Amino acid sequence: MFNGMGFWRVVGRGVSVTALLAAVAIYILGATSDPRLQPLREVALDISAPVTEVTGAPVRFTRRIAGDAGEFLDLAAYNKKLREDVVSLSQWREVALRLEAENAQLRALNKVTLAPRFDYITAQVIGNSGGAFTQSITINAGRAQGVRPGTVVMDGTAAIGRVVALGENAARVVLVTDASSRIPAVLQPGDIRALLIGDNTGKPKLQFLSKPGRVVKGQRVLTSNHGGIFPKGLPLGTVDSLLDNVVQVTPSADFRQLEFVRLVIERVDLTIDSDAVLIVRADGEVEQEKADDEGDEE
Amino acid sequence: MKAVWSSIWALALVLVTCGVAIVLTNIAMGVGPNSTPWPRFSVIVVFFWMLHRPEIMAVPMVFAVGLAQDLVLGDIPGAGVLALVLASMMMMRWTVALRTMPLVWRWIGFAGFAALVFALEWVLTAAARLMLPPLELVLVQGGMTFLMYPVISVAMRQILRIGRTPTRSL
Repeated sequence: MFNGMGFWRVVGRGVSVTALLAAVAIYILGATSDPRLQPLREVALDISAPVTEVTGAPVRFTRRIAGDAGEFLDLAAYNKKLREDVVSLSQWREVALRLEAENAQLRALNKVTLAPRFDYITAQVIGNSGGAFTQSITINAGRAQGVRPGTVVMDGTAAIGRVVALGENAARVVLVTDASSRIPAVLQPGDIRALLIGDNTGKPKLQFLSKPGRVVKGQRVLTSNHGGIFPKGLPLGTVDSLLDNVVQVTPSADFRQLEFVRLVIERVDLTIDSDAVLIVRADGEVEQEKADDEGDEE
Repeated sequence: MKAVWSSIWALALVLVTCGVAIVLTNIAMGVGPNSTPWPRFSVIVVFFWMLHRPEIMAVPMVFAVGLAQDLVLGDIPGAGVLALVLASMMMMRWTVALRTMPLVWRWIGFAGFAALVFALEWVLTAAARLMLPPLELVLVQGGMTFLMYPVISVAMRQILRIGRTPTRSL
């Protein structure tokens, strides 16, 4: 039916058309966030993360040296600011510890169930998507370290994104600025509920505001825990501008300095019994110690 | 036997360079919205091999590279693959003519290929997310990829010579 060359040409075209159709199918699955692609993503993460970590080491080293050089040039002013911060933070630490102990005692008296408390894992940023179509990073912590899909990621103090793909020792984090990011938020002061929507620029937008007329520049944008993914009260940013009913937000996180991130790992609820002795450690851990009933009775 | 080894060597070279290109694109030079987009090295490498090893960098291989790139970079799976596959199918006829031309012409040919890839991916991403991705970021990334082509191309031609016998390289 076919001569030699003609046969291979037809086979080649058939393979090309199959590849094109496969690409279309994957695009449709990807666009609809089909979970069947998740295993492929996990395999890609597990293979690429160690290679990226090793090959990216010189780049991270260079970045760190450049950052240190910049700080060295401004050492005196930097040192002065740090001293001031230390004095201020020491005062706040005392206040925080006193309040935490007082809070714990009041909770014990009222038999309250504590809101889920959190553990933290620190991970290094080893990869970056590159920017034009996606705002995501790769970190060197995964399932083996207790990370779960949806785990919230912070820089020092502010929420920067959540885990969307998970490997054994690596995870992909979609940043709050990514076009696929939707975070339920609350504006304070004013208690205005809204949705923070990323658009791949440095200024995500607020939509579906509960009280649009009460939004003012400078209001703090915090996570609201609606939907249950983000814990309540994590800083996201501040209202930057209001133009033509578009509310733009400046993220609190400094993405330029982002080398390490903190992952917020949720723990189970802790119910306080009335006869328990409550211990609040300096690191914020809360422990219950049951009184020795029998021994006391005797 | 020599031809078989030569083919295996060429295939290994294509796979390794494509892998390195994807990893390089994924390295964290800067993070987040304020960082400058980094060149898409995989687009450069695919075009280079389309010119120099078209029998290996055929549509199925372009598909494999595109899929690996999408999965590693965390883009919408399929958007990068489809953009690369469609662009390579459109450019396939031109690459035959470009193969023997000087670097400047190949660079111009690459500009067309890269423009096609980025434009298609922009449209596909916009369609998937029902939101227009910021055009300036795409232009910056496309521009950086375009500027990197001669450097990568010259370096890869040197690598390509390693596997050839002295008589052929002359």
